[in-house]
Amino acid sequence: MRVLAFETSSRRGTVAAVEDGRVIASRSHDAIDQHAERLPGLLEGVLAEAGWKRGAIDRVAAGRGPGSFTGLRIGLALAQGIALGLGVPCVGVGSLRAMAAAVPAGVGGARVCCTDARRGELFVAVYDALGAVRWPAAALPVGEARAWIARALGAEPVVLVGEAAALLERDAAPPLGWFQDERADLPHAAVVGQLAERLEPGEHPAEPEYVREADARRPELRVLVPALGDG
Amino acid sequence: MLVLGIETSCDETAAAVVRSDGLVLSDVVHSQVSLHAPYGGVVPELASRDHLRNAAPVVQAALDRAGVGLDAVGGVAVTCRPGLSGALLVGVQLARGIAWSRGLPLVGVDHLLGHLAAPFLRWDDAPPLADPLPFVALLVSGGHTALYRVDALEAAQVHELGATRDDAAGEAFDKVAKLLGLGYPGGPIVDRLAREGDPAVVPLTRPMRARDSLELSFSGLKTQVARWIEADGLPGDDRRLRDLCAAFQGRVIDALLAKLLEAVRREGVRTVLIAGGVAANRELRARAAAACERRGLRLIVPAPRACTDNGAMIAYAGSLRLVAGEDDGAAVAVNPRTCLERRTRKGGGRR
Ligand SMILES: Nc1ncnc2c1ncn2[C@@H]1O[C@H](COP(=O)(O)OP(=O)(O)O)[C@@H](O)[C@H]1O
Repeated sequence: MRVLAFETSSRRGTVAAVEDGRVIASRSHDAIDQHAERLPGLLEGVLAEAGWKRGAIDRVAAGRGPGSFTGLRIGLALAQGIALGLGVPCVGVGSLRAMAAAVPAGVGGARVCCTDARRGELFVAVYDALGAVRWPAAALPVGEARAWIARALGAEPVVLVGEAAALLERDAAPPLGWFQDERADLPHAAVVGQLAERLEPGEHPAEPEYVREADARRPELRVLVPALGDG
Repeated sequence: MLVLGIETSCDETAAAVVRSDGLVLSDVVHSQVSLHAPYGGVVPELASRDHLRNAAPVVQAALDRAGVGLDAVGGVAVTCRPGLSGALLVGVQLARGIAWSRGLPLVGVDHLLGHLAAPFLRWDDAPPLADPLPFVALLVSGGHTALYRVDALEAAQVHELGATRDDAAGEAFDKVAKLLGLGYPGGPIVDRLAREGDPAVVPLTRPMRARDSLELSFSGLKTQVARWIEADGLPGDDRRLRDLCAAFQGRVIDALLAKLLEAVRREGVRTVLIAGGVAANRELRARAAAACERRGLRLIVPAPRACTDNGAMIAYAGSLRLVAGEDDGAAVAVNPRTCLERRTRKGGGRR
Protein backbone atom coordinates (compact mmCIF):
# COMPACT_ATOMS: atom_id res chain seq x y z
CA MET A 1 0.00 0.00 0.00
CA ARG A 2 1.21 3.48 -0.87
CA VAL A 3 0.57 6.14 1.78
CA LEU A 4 1.19 9.84 1.42
CA ALA A 5 1.54 11.39 4.88
CA PHE A 6 1.66 14.88 6.40
CA GLU A 7 2.56 16.03 9.89
CA THR A 8 2.23 19.72 10.75
CA SER A 9 1.24 19.78 14.42
CA SER A 10 4.61 21.08 15.68
CA ARG A 11 7.08 23.73 14.58
CA ARG A 12 8.41 21.22 12.05
CA GLY A 13 6.44 20.28 8.95
CA THR A 14 7.06 16.92 7.29
CA VAL A 15 5.78 15.05 4.23
CA ALA A 16 6.52 11.38 3.56
CA ALA A 17 5.83 8.60 1.10
CA VAL A 18 5.51 5.19 2.72
CA GLU A 19 5.06 1.90 0.89
CA ASP A 20 4.37 -1.38 2.69
CA GLY A 21 5.95 -0.08 5.88
CA ARG A 22 9.04 1.32 4.18
CA VAL A 23 9.72 5.04 4.07
CA ILE A 24 10.38 5.74 0.39
CA ALA A 25 10.92 9.48 0.67
CA SER A 26 10.49 12.25 3.20
CA ARG A 27 11.07 15.98 3.39
CA SER A 28 10.85 18.47 6.23
CA HIS A 29 11.11 22.18 7.02
CA ASP A 30 11.24 24.13 10.24
CA ALA A 31 10.49 27.67 9.13
CA ILE A 32 8.25 29.36 11.68
CA ASP A 33 4.58 29.68 10.67
CA GLN A 34 5.32 28.50 7.13
CA HIS A 35 3.55 25.15 6.91
CA ALA A 36 1.02 26.30 4.32
CA GLU A 37 3.72 27.92 2.18
CA ARG A 38 6.23 25.08 2.43
CA LEU A 39 4.02 22.02 2.09
CA PRO A 40 3.47 22.22 -1.69
CA GLY A 41 7.21 22.23 -2.36
CA LEU A 42 7.89 19.38 0.09
CA LEU A 43 5.07 17.41 -1.51
CA GLU A 44 6.49 17.79 -5.01
CA GLY A 45 9.91 16.77 -3.75
CA VAL A 46 8.63 13.66 -1.99
CA LEU A 47 6.59 12.54 -4.98
CA ALA A 48 9.48 13.04 -7.36
CA GLU A 49 11.88 11.14 -5.13
CA ALA A 50 9.40 8.31 -4.64
CA GLY A 51 8.75 8.26 -8.37
CA TRP A 52 5.00 7.99 -7.76
CA LYS A 53 2.25 9.31 -9.98
CA ARG A 54 -0.55 11.01 -8.03
CA GLY A 55 -2.99 8.32 -9.09
CA ALA A 56 -0.79 5.64 -7.52
CA ILE A 57 -1.52 6.87 -3.98
CA ASP A 58 -3.76 4.41 -2.09
CA ARG A 59 -4.21 6.34 1.11
CA VAL A 60 -3.54 9.79 2.57
CA ALA A 61 -2.72 10.40 6.23
CA ALA A 62 -2.05 13.31 8.56
CA GLY A 63 -1.11 13.83 12.20
CA ARG A 64 -4.17 14.82 14.25
CA GLY A 65 -2.34 16.44 17.13
CA PRO A 66 -2.42 17.63 19.73
CA GLY A 67 -0.36 20.61 18.66
CA SER A 68 -0.72 24.04 17.13
CA PHE A 69 -4.40 24.45 16.18
CA THR A 70 -3.67 26.19 12.91
CA GLY A 71 -0.74 23.90 12.11
CA LEU A 72 -2.91 20.83 12.53
CA ARG A 73 -5.57 22.17 10.23
CA ILE A 74 -3.03 23.01 7.52
CA GLY A 75 -1.96 19.38 7.24
CA LEU A 76 -5.36 17.82 7.79
CA ALA A 77 -7.20 20.03 5.28
CA LEU A 78 -4.56 19.41 2.62
CA ALA A 79 -4.71 15.65 3.26
CA GLN A 80 -8.51 15.71 3.10
CA GLY A 81 -8.43 17.62 -0.19
CA ILE A 82 -6.01 15.18 -1.79
CA ALA A 83 -8.02 12.19 -0.55
CA LEU A 84 -11.24 13.73 -1.84
CA GLY A 85 -9.63 14.42 -5.20
CA LEU A 86 -8.22 10.92 -5.55
CA GLY A 87 -11.21 9.16 -4.04
CA VAL A 88 -9.03 7.32 -1.49
CA PRO A 89 -9.36 7.05 2.31
CA CYS A 90 -7.91 9.70 4.60
CA VAL A 91 -6.58 8.57 7.98
CA GLY A 92 -5.75 10.58 11.09
CA VAL A 93 -2.91 9.46 13.36
CA GLY A 94 -2.29 10.83 16.85
CA SER A 95 0.88 12.94 16.75
CA LEU A 96 2.13 11.78 20.17
CA ARG A 97 1.36 8.20 19.16
CA ALA A 98 3.59 8.66 16.12
CA MET A 99 6.40 9.80 18.42
CA ALA A 100 5.95 6.71 20.60
CA ALA A 101 6.05 4.51 17.52
CA ALA A 102 9.41 5.99 16.55
CA VAL A 103 11.00 4.36 19.62
CA PRO A 104 12.43 0.92 18.69
CA ALA A 105 10.72 -2.06 20.33
CA GLY A 106 14.01 -2.99 22.03
CA VAL A 107 13.91 0.14 24.21
CA GLY A 108 12.10 -0.86 27.39
CA GLY A 109 9.60 1.13 29.45
CA ALA A 110 6.49 3.21 29.07
CA ARG A 111 6.85 5.93 26.43
CA VAL A 112 6.06 9.33 27.89
CA CYS A 113 5.66 11.53 24.81
CA CYS A 114 5.80 15.32 25.16
CA THR A 115 5.42 18.25 22.83
CA ASP A 116 5.53 21.96 23.61
CA ALA A 117 1.96 23.18 24.18
CA ARG A 118 3.06 26.83 24.73
CA ARG A 119 1.58 28.90 27.59
CA GLY A 120 3.82 27.03 30.01
CA GLU A 121 2.27 23.68 29.26
CA LEU A 122 3.21 20.37 27.67
CA PHE A 123 1.05 17.98 25.72
CA VAL A 124 1.74 14.60 27.26
CA ALA A 125 0.54 11.09 26.42
CA VAL A 126 1.82 7.69 27.56
CA TYR A 127 2.04 4.53 25.44
CA ASP A 128 3.34 1.08 26.28
CA ALA A 129 6.19 -0.55 24.36
CA LEU A 130 3.69 -2.12 21.94
CA GLY A 131 2.07 1.23 21.16
CA ALA A 132 -1.10 0.77 23.21
CA VAL A 133 -2.27 3.97 24.87
CA ARG A 134 -1.79 4.10 28.64
CA TRP A 135 -2.75 7.75 29.18
CA PRO A 136 -4.46 9.74 26.45
CA ALA A 137 -3.09 13.12 25.46
CA ALA A 138 -3.54 15.96 27.96
CA ALA A 139 -2.19 19.48 28.39
CA LEU A 140 -0.22 19.77 31.65
CA PRO A 141 1.57 22.71 33.26
CA VAL A 142 5.30 22.12 32.84
CA GLY A 143 5.86 22.28 36.60
CA GLU A 144 3.28 19.56 37.28
CA ALA A 145 4.18 17.15 34.49
CA ARG A 146 6.88 15.42 36.47
CA ALA A 147 4.60 14.68 39.42
CA TRP A 148 1.87 13.57 37.02
CA ILE A 149 4.24 11.07 35.39
CA ALA A 150 5.29 9.73 38.79
CA ARG A 151 1.66 9.35 39.87
CA ALA A 152 0.65 7.70 36.62
CA LEU A 153 3.54 5.28 36.31
CA GLY A 154 4.90 4.77 39.81
CA ALA A 155 8.22 2.96 39.81
CA GLU A 156 7.77 1.55 36.29
CA PRO A 157 10.64 2.06 33.86
CA VAL A 158 9.96 5.12 31.77
CA VAL A 159 11.45 6.59 28.62
CA LEU A 160 10.87 10.22 27.79
CA VAL A 161 10.19 11.04 24.13
CA GLY A 162 10.22 14.43 22.47
CA GLU A 163 12.47 17.48 22.47
CA ALA A 164 9.97 19.18 24.77
CA ALA A 165 10.97 16.69 27.49
CA ALA A 166 13.91 19.06 27.98
CA LEU A 167 11.41 21.38 29.69
CA LEU A 168 11.02 18.88 32.55
CA GLU A 169 13.42 19.22 35.46
CA ARG A 170 15.66 16.45 34.36
CA ASP A 171 17.74 16.35 37.53
CA ALA A 172 14.84 15.32 39.74
CA ALA A 173 14.91 11.71 40.98
CA PRO A 174 14.36 9.07 39.81
CA PRO A 175 16.37 9.72 36.64
CA LEU A 176 14.34 9.15 33.49
CA GLY A 177 15.77 7.89 30.20
CA TRP A 178 15.34 10.19 27.23
CA PHE A 179 15.07 8.68 23.75
CA GLN A 180 16.26 11.09 21.09
CA ASP A 181 15.90 10.66 17.35
CA GLU A 182 14.90 12.83 14.42
CA ARG A 183 11.60 10.97 14.07
CA ALA A 184 10.83 11.01 17.79
CA ASP A 185 11.91 14.50 18.86
CA LEU A 186 8.90 15.95 17.07
CA PRO A 187 6.05 14.10 15.33
CA HIS A 188 7.17 12.94 11.87
CA ALA A 189 5.14 12.16 8.74
CA ALA A 190 7.22 9.05 8.02
CA VAL A 191 5.91 7.40 11.20
CA VAL A 192 2.42 8.80 10.65
CA GLY A 193 2.43 7.08 7.24
CA GLN A 194 3.68 3.79 8.65
CA LEU A 195 0.98 3.74 11.33
CA ALA A 196 -1.74 4.87 8.92
CA GLU A 197 -1.16 1.86 6.73
CA ARG A 198 -2.35 -0.42 9.51
CA LEU A 199 -5.33 1.65 10.72
CA GLU A 200 -8.96 1.25 9.74
CA PRO A 201 -9.90 4.56 8.03
CA GLY A 202 -13.47 4.55 9.37
CA GLU A 203 -12.20 4.31 12.94
CA HIS A 204 -9.40 6.85 12.54
CA PRO A 205 -10.79 9.86 10.70
CA ALA A 206 -8.51 12.70 9.67
CA GLU A 207 -9.93 14.97 12.37
CA PRO A 208 -7.92 17.02 14.82
CA GLU A 209 -7.45 16.07 18.45
CA TYR A 210 -7.23 19.56 19.92
CA VAL A 211 -7.21 18.51 23.61
CA ARG A 212 -7.70 22.18 24.50
CA GLU A 213 -10.97 24.06 24.18
CA ALA A 214 -11.20 27.14 21.98
CA ASP A 215 -11.11 30.37 24.00
CA ALA A 216 -14.52 31.94 23.88
CA ARG A 217 -16.62 33.92 26.32
CA ARG A 218 -20.40 34.17 26.36
CA PRO A 219 -22.07 37.53 26.96
CA GLU A 220 -25.16 37.93 29.14
CA LEU A 221 -28.30 37.74 27.04
CA ARG A 222 -31.63 38.94 28.24
CA VAL A 223 -34.66 37.61 26.53
CA LEU A 224 -37.20 40.24 25.75
CA VAL A 225 -37.57 39.86 22.01
CA PRO A 226 -41.15 39.32 21.10
CA ALA A 227 -41.61 36.15 19.08
CA LEU A 228 -40.17 36.74 15.65
CA GLY A 229 -42.25 35.13 12.99
CA ASP A 230 -41.48 35.28 9.29
CA GLY A 231 -42.53 38.26 7.21
CA MET B 1 -15.88 25.25 -18.20
CA LEU B 2 -17.19 24.03 -14.85
CA VAL B 3 -15.55 25.58 -11.81
CA LEU B 4 -15.56 24.36 -8.22
CA GLY B 5 -15.70 27.30 -5.81
CA ILE B 6 -14.81 27.07 -2.12
CA GLU B 7 -15.47 29.72 0.54
CA THR B 8 -14.43 29.62 4.23
CA SER B 9 -13.46 33.21 4.99
CA CYS B 10 -15.78 33.86 7.91
CA ASP B 11 -18.75 31.97 9.32
CA GLU B 12 -20.07 30.11 6.29
CA THR B 13 -18.54 26.94 4.87
CA ALA B 14 -19.63 26.95 1.24
CA ALA B 15 -18.92 25.22 -2.05
CA ALA B 16 -20.52 25.38 -5.48
CA VAL B 17 -20.16 24.17 -9.03
CA VAL B 18 -20.72 26.98 -11.52
CA ARG B 19 -20.49 27.09 -15.30
CA SER B 20 -18.32 29.87 -16.66
CA ASP B 21 -21.40 31.64 -18.09
CA GLY B 22 -22.73 32.06 -14.56
CA LEU B 23 -25.16 29.15 -14.39
CA VAL B 24 -25.10 27.70 -10.87
CA LEU B 25 -25.24 23.89 -10.95
CA SER B 26 -25.03 23.53 -7.21
CA ASP B 27 -24.56 25.81 -4.24
CA VAL B 28 -24.12 24.31 -0.77
CA VAL B 29 -23.80 26.54 2.31
CA HIS B 30 -23.26 25.37 5.85
CA SER B 31 -23.85 28.33 8.16
CA GLN B 32 -22.14 28.63 11.54
CA VAL B 33 -24.50 31.30 12.79
CA SER B 34 -26.00 29.14 15.56
CA LEU B 35 -22.50 28.10 16.67
CA HIS B 36 -21.42 31.71 17.25
CA ALA B 37 -24.80 33.04 18.41
CA PRO B 38 -24.18 32.44 22.15
CA TYR B 39 -21.04 34.61 21.93
CA GLY B 40 -22.67 37.55 20.19
CA GLY B 41 -20.16 37.42 17.33
CA VAL B 42 -17.85 35.17 15.37
CA VAL B 43 -15.25 33.38 17.53
CA PRO B 44 -12.30 32.77 15.18
CA GLU B 45 -11.05 29.48 16.64
CA LEU B 46 -14.55 28.02 16.73
CA ALA B 47 -15.03 29.13 13.13
CA SER B 48 -11.81 27.41 11.98
CA ARG B 49 -12.72 24.21 13.77
CA ASP B 50 -16.15 24.12 12.24
CA HIS B 51 -14.79 24.84 8.76
CA LEU B 52 -12.45 21.86 8.98
CA ARG B 53 -15.28 19.63 10.19
CA ASN B 54 -17.51 20.60 7.30
CA ALA B 55 -15.43 21.73 4.33
CA ALA B 56 -14.79 18.35 2.71
CA PRO B 57 -18.39 17.13 3.13
CA VAL B 58 -19.71 20.45 1.77
CA VAL B 59 -17.47 20.16 -1.32
CA GLN B 60 -18.58 16.57 -1.85
CA ALA B 61 -22.22 17.63 -1.53
CA ALA B 62 -21.69 20.40 -4.09
CA LEU B 63 -20.27 17.90 -6.59
CA ASP B 64 -23.04 15.39 -5.87
CA ARG B 65 -25.82 17.95 -6.22
CA ALA B 66 -24.34 19.21 -9.47
CA GLY B 67 -24.30 15.59 -10.61
CA VAL B 68 -20.68 15.83 -11.74
CA GLY B 69 -17.38 14.28 -10.76
CA LEU B 70 -14.11 16.17 -10.53
CA ASP B 71 -13.22 14.87 -14.00
CA ALA B 72 -15.86 17.25 -15.37
CA VAL B 73 -14.42 20.22 -13.46
CA GLY B 74 -11.94 22.48 -15.27
CA GLY B 75 -10.56 24.44 -12.34
CA VAL B 76 -10.82 25.29 -8.65
CA ALA B 77 -11.40 28.76 -7.17
CA VAL B 78 -11.00 29.49 -3.48
CA THR B 79 -11.39 32.56 -1.29
CA CYS B 80 -7.91 33.49 -0.08
CA ARG B 81 -8.60 37.04 1.23
CA PRO B 82 -9.88 39.01 3.12
CA GLY B 83 -11.11 37.20 6.21
CA LEU B 84 -10.02 35.28 9.29
CA SER B 85 -6.63 33.75 8.49
CA GLY B 86 -7.30 30.48 10.28
CA ALA B 87 -10.64 30.08 8.54
CA LEU B 88 -9.28 31.01 5.10
CA LEU B 89 -6.48 28.47 5.52
CA VAL B 90 -8.90 25.58 5.80
CA GLY B 91 -10.51 26.34 2.46
CA VAL B 92 -7.22 27.15 0.75
CA GLN B 93 -5.55 23.93 1.93
CA LEU B 94 -8.53 21.81 0.95
CA ALA B 95 -8.69 23.47 -2.47
CA ARG B 96 -4.96 23.05 -2.90
CA GLY B 97 -5.24 19.35 -2.16
CA ILE B 98 -8.12 18.86 -4.59
CA ALA B 99 -6.43 20.83 -7.37
CA TRP B 100 -3.07 19.15 -6.85
CA SER B 101 -4.52 15.65 -6.79
CA ARG B 102 -6.41 16.19 -10.06
CA GLY B 103 -3.79 18.34 -11.79
CA LEU B 104 -6.33 21.20 -11.99
CA PRO B 105 -5.54 24.91 -12.11
CA LEU B 106 -6.22 26.77 -8.86
CA VAL B 107 -6.97 30.46 -8.43
CA GLY B 108 -7.28 32.50 -5.23
CA VAL B 109 -10.24 34.89 -5.19
CA ASP B 110 -10.77 38.07 -3.19
CA HIS B 111 -13.98 37.57 -1.22
CA LEU B 112 -15.14 41.11 -1.99
CA LEU B 113 -14.71 40.53 -5.71
CA GLY B 114 -16.87 37.47 -5.14
CA HIS B 115 -19.66 39.58 -3.65
CA LEU B 116 -19.45 41.90 -6.67
CA ALA B 117 -20.00 38.84 -8.89
CA ALA B 118 -23.47 38.28 -7.44
CA PRO B 119 -25.36 39.89 -10.37
CA PHE B 120 -23.66 37.55 -12.85
CA LEU B 121 -24.93 34.37 -11.21
CA ARG B 122 -28.10 32.68 -12.32
CA TRP B 123 -29.94 29.76 -10.88
CA ASP B 124 -32.29 27.37 -12.70
CA ASP B 125 -31.65 28.40 -16.30
CA ALA B 126 -33.00 31.90 -15.69
CA PRO B 127 -32.07 34.18 -18.59
CA PRO B 128 -28.86 36.10 -18.04
CA LEU B 129 -29.17 39.64 -16.75
CA ALA B 130 -28.51 42.41 -19.28
CA ASP B 131 -24.88 43.50 -18.91
CA PRO B 132 -24.70 45.50 -15.68
CA LEU B 133 -21.22 46.95 -16.28
CA PRO B 134 -20.08 49.50 -15.35
CA PHE B 135 -21.81 49.86 -11.98
CA VAL B 136 -21.40 51.31 -8.53
CA ALA B 137 -21.75 48.76 -5.76
CA LEU B 138 -22.60 49.12 -2.12
CA LEU B 139 -21.27 46.11 -0.29
CA VAL B 140 -22.82 45.88 3.16
CA SER B 141 -22.27 42.86 5.35
CA GLY B 142 -21.19 41.90 8.83
CA GLY B 143 -17.52 42.18 7.95
CA HIS B 144 -17.41 44.81 5.21
CA THR B 145 -19.05 48.06 4.24
CA ALA B 146 -17.69 49.84 1.19
CA LEU B 147 -18.55 51.48 -2.12
CA TYR B 148 -16.95 50.38 -5.37
CA ARG B 149 -16.84 51.35 -8.96
CA VAL B 150 -16.78 48.16 -11.04
CA ASP B 151 -15.74 48.35 -14.69
CA ALA B 152 -15.07 44.65 -15.04
CA LEU B 153 -15.02 41.71 -12.68
CA GLU B 154 -11.30 41.69 -12.10
CA ALA B 155 -9.33 43.17 -9.25
CA ALA B 156 -7.60 45.81 -11.39
CA GLN B 157 -10.95 47.06 -12.71
CA VAL B 158 -12.57 47.50 -9.32
CA HIS B 159 -11.95 50.60 -7.24
CA GLU B 160 -13.02 51.32 -3.75
CA LEU B 161 -14.59 54.77 -3.56
CA GLY B 162 -15.20 54.87 0.17
CA ALA B 163 -15.57 52.58 3.12
CA THR B 164 -16.39 52.49 6.77
CA ARG B 165 -13.72 53.84 9.05
CA ASP B 166 -14.76 51.61 11.91
CA ASP B 167 -17.60 49.10 12.18
CA ALA B 168 -19.23 47.47 9.18
CA ALA B 169 -22.95 48.23 8.95
CA GLY B 170 -23.93 44.64 9.77
CA GLU B 171 -21.52 44.70 12.69
CA ALA B 172 -23.24 47.87 13.94
CA PHE B 173 -26.60 46.11 13.76
CA ASP B 174 -25.11 43.17 15.66
CA LYS B 175 -23.48 45.34 18.32
CA VAL B 176 -26.60 47.42 18.92
CA ALA B 177 -28.64 44.23 19.18
CA LYS B 178 -26.09 42.99 21.72
CA LEU B 179 -26.41 46.23 23.73
CA LEU B 180 -30.15 45.66 23.73
CA GLY B 181 -29.72 42.01 24.69
CA LEU B 182 -31.53 40.88 21.56
CA GLY B 183 -29.38 38.00 20.33
CA TYR B 184 -27.25 37.32 17.28
CA PRO B 185 -27.18 38.04 14.42
CA GLY B 186 -28.84 41.32 15.29
CA GLY B 187 -29.60 42.60 11.78
CA PRO B 188 -32.73 40.56 11.08
CA ILE B 189 -34.05 41.12 14.62
CA VAL B 190 -33.58 44.90 14.50
CA ASP B 191 -35.07 44.91 10.99
CA ARG B 192 -38.18 43.12 12.24
CA LEU B 193 -38.58 45.32 15.33
CA ALA B 194 -37.97 48.53 13.38
CA ARG B 195 -40.91 47.85 11.09
CA GLU B 196 -43.36 48.69 13.86
CA GLY B 197 -41.35 51.51 15.39
CA ASP B 198 -41.44 55.26 14.93
CA PRO B 199 -38.01 56.46 13.80
CA ALA B 200 -38.69 60.02 14.98
CA VAL B 201 -39.16 59.30 18.69
CA VAL B 202 -35.55 58.61 19.68
CA PRO B 203 -33.30 61.46 18.51
CA LEU B 204 -30.21 59.86 16.99
CA THR B 205 -28.08 61.86 14.59
CA ARG B 206 -26.90 60.55 11.27
CA PRO B 207 -23.21 59.70 11.06
CA MET B 208 -20.73 61.26 8.58
CA ARG B 209 -22.79 64.01 7.09
CA ALA B 210 -19.93 65.68 5.20
CA ARG B 211 -21.05 65.65 1.60
CA ASP B 212 -17.60 65.68 0.03
CA SER B 213 -16.59 62.41 1.63
CA LEU B 214 -17.63 58.90 0.72
CA GLU B 215 -16.36 57.56 4.02
CA LEU B 216 -18.77 55.95 6.42
CA SER B 217 -18.73 55.45 10.18
CA PHE B 218 -21.09 53.59 12.44
CA SER B 219 -19.37 53.40 15.80
CA GLY B 220 -20.63 56.86 16.80
CA LEU B 221 -24.19 55.77 16.20
CA LYS B 222 -23.60 52.72 18.33
CA THR B 223 -22.25 54.99 21.09
CA GLN B 224 -25.36 57.17 20.82
CA VAL B 225 -27.51 54.11 21.38
CA ALA B 226 -25.33 53.07 24.34
CA ARG B 227 -25.67 56.59 25.88
CA TRP B 228 -29.39 56.56 25.34
CA ILE B 229 -29.63 53.24 27.16
CA GLU B 230 -27.42 54.58 29.94
CA ALA B 231 -29.66 57.57 30.45
CA ASP B 232 -33.04 55.95 29.93
CA GLY B 233 -32.34 52.37 30.88
CA LEU B 234 -32.93 49.41 28.62
CA PRO B 235 -36.19 50.01 26.82
CA GLY B 236 -38.58 47.75 28.64
CA ASP B 237 -41.81 48.02 26.80
CA ASP B 238 -42.01 46.88 23.22
CA ARG B 239 -42.86 50.26 21.81
CA ARG B 240 -39.72 51.99 23.16
CA LEU B 241 -37.62 49.14 21.85
CA ARG B 242 -39.21 49.28 18.43
CA ASP B 243 -38.82 53.06 18.25
CA LEU B 244 -35.14 52.79 19.14
CA CYS B 245 -34.57 50.10 16.52
CA ALA B 246 -36.40 52.16 13.91
CA ALA B 247 -34.30 55.24 14.73
CA PHE B 248 -31.03 53.34 14.63
CA GLN B 249 -31.82 51.49 11.41
CA GLY B 250 -33.15 54.68 9.82
CA ARG B 251 -29.91 56.56 10.51
CA VAL B 252 -27.76 53.69 9.22
CA ILE B 253 -29.73 53.61 5.99
CA ASP B 254 -29.71 57.42 5.68
CA ALA B 255 -25.94 57.25 5.70
CA LEU B 256 -25.64 54.28 3.35
CA LEU B 257 -28.01 55.78 0.79
CA ALA B 258 -26.55 59.27 0.93
CA LYS B 259 -23.05 57.96 0.19
CA LEU B 260 -24.27 55.49 -2.42
CA LEU B 261 -26.16 58.15 -4.34
CA GLU B 262 -23.29 60.58 -4.09
CA ALA B 263 -20.95 57.92 -5.47
CA VAL B 264 -23.30 57.19 -8.35
CA ARG B 265 -23.54 60.89 -9.14
CA ARG B 266 -19.77 61.32 -9.14
CA GLU B 267 -19.07 58.24 -11.22
CA GLY B 268 -21.84 58.94 -13.72
CA VAL B 269 -22.94 55.31 -13.98
CA ARG B 270 -26.55 54.21 -14.42
CA THR B 271 -26.50 50.87 -12.62
CA VAL B 272 -26.35 50.24 -8.88
CA LEU B 273 -25.69 47.00 -7.03
CA ILE B 274 -26.39 46.39 -3.37
CA ALA B 275 -24.93 43.15 -2.04
CA GLY B 276 -23.89 41.56 1.26
CA GLY B 277 -25.97 40.28 4.17
CA VAL B 278 -27.42 43.69 5.07
CA ALA B 279 -28.93 43.89 1.56
CA ALA B 280 -31.64 41.66 3.05
CA ASN B 281 -32.81 44.66 5.11
CA ARG B 282 -36.34 45.58 4.09
CA GLU B 283 -36.08 49.31 4.68
CA LEU B 284 -32.77 49.50 2.79
CA ARG B 285 -34.27 47.68 -0.19
CA ALA B 286 -37.43 49.79 -0.26
CA ARG B 287 -35.69 53.14 0.12
CA ALA B 288 -32.95 52.25 -2.38
CA ALA B 289 -35.58 51.17 -4.90
CA ALA B 290 -37.49 54.43 -4.50
CA ALA B 291 -34.34 56.57 -4.70
CA CYS B 292 -33.08 54.78 -7.81
CA GLU B 293 -36.44 54.98 -9.51
CA ARG B 294 -36.61 58.74 -8.92
CA ARG B 295 -33.24 59.11 -10.60
CA GLY B 296 -33.89 56.63 -13.41
CA LEU B 297 -31.15 54.29 -12.17
CA ARG B 298 -31.17 50.55 -12.57
CA LEU B 299 -30.97 48.88 -9.17
CA ILE B 300 -29.80 45.30 -8.77
CA VAL B 301 -30.32 43.61 -5.43
CA PRO B 302 -29.54 39.91 -5.89
CA ALA B 303 -31.56 37.24 -4.10
CA PRO B 304 -30.49 36.68 -0.48
CA ARG B 305 -28.63 33.44 -1.30
CA ALA B 306 -26.53 35.35 -3.83
CA CYS B 307 -25.99 38.26 -1.41
CA THR B 308 -24.70 36.38 1.62
CA ASP B 309 -21.50 34.35 1.64
CA ASN B 310 -21.59 31.47 -0.84
CA GLY B 311 -19.29 29.41 -3.02
CA ALA B 312 -21.02 30.23 -6.31
CA MET B 313 -19.83 33.84 -6.33
CA ILE B 314 -16.26 32.66 -5.68
CA ALA B 315 -16.49 30.07 -8.45
CA TYR B 316 -17.77 32.66 -10.91
CA ALA B 317 -15.22 35.34 -10.01
CA GLY B 318 -12.48 32.70 -10.31
CA SER B 319 -13.86 31.31 -13.57
CA LEU B 320 -12.98 34.50 -15.46
CA ARG B 321 -9.31 33.94 -14.66
CA LEU B 322 -9.42 30.19 -15.13
CA VAL B 323 -11.01 30.54 -18.57
CA ALA B 324 -8.20 32.93 -19.46
CA GLY B 325 -5.74 30.14 -18.63
CA GLU B 326 -4.49 31.56 -15.34
CA ASP B 327 -3.27 29.29 -12.54
CA ASP B 328 -1.99 30.53 -9.18
CA GLY B 329 -0.98 26.99 -8.22
CA ALA B 330 1.12 26.82 -5.09
CA ALA B 331 1.33 30.63 -4.97
CA VAL B 332 -2.19 31.04 -3.54
CA ALA B 333 -1.61 32.81 -0.24
CA VAL B 334 -3.93 33.66 2.59
CA ASN B 335 -4.16 37.34 3.48
CA PRO B 336 -6.49 39.00 6.01
CA ARG B 337 -6.83 42.12 3.81
CA THR B 338 -8.48 42.77 0.47
CA CYS B 339 -6.51 43.34 -2.74
CA LEU B 340 -9.05 45.81 -4.12
CA GLU B 341 -7.48 49.20 -4.58
CA ARG B 342 -8.64 52.35 -3.03
CA ARG B 343 -9.23 55.37 -5.19
CA THR B 344 -9.86 58.74 -3.67
CA ARG B 345 -9.89 62.15 -5.24
CA LYS B 346 -6.34 62.51 -4.05
CA GLY B 347 -5.21 59.35 -5.80
CA GLY B 348 -4.85 55.63 -5.42
CA GLY B 349 -3.30 53.36 -2.90
CA ARG B 350 -3.84 50.15 -1.10
CA ARG B 351 -5.69 49.86 2.17
N1 LIG C 1 -32.47 42.29 7.49
C1 LIG C 1 -31.28 42.71 7.88
N2 LIG C 1 -31.09 43.99 8.27
C2 LIG C 1 -29.88 44.43 8.67
N3 LIG C 1 -28.80 43.66 8.74
C3 LIG C 1 -28.92 42.37 8.38
C4 LIG C 1 -30.17 41.83 7.93
N4 LIG C 1 -29.97 40.52 7.64
C5 LIG C 1 -28.67 40.26 7.91
N5 LIG C 1 -28.04 41.35 8.36
C6 LIG C 1 -26.65 41.48 8.79
O1 LIG C 1 -25.78 40.98 7.78
C7 LIG C 1 -24.61 40.43 8.38
C8 LIG C 1 -24.34 39.05 7.81
O2 LIG C 1 -24.12 39.18 6.43
P1 LIG C 1 -23.01 38.35 5.66
O3 LIG C 1 -23.04 38.75 4.25
O4 LIG C 1 -23.16 36.91 6.03
O5 LIG C 1 -21.76 39.03 6.34
P2 LIG C 1 -20.38 38.53 6.86
O6 LIG C 1 -20.16 37.17 6.29
O7 LIG C 1 -19.44 39.57 6.39
O8 LIG C 1 -20.59 38.55 8.36
C9 LIG C 1 -24.85 40.39 9.86
O9 LIG C 1 -24.13 41.43 10.46
C10 LIG C 1 -26.35 40.60 9.99
O10 LIG C 1 -26.73 41.23 11.20
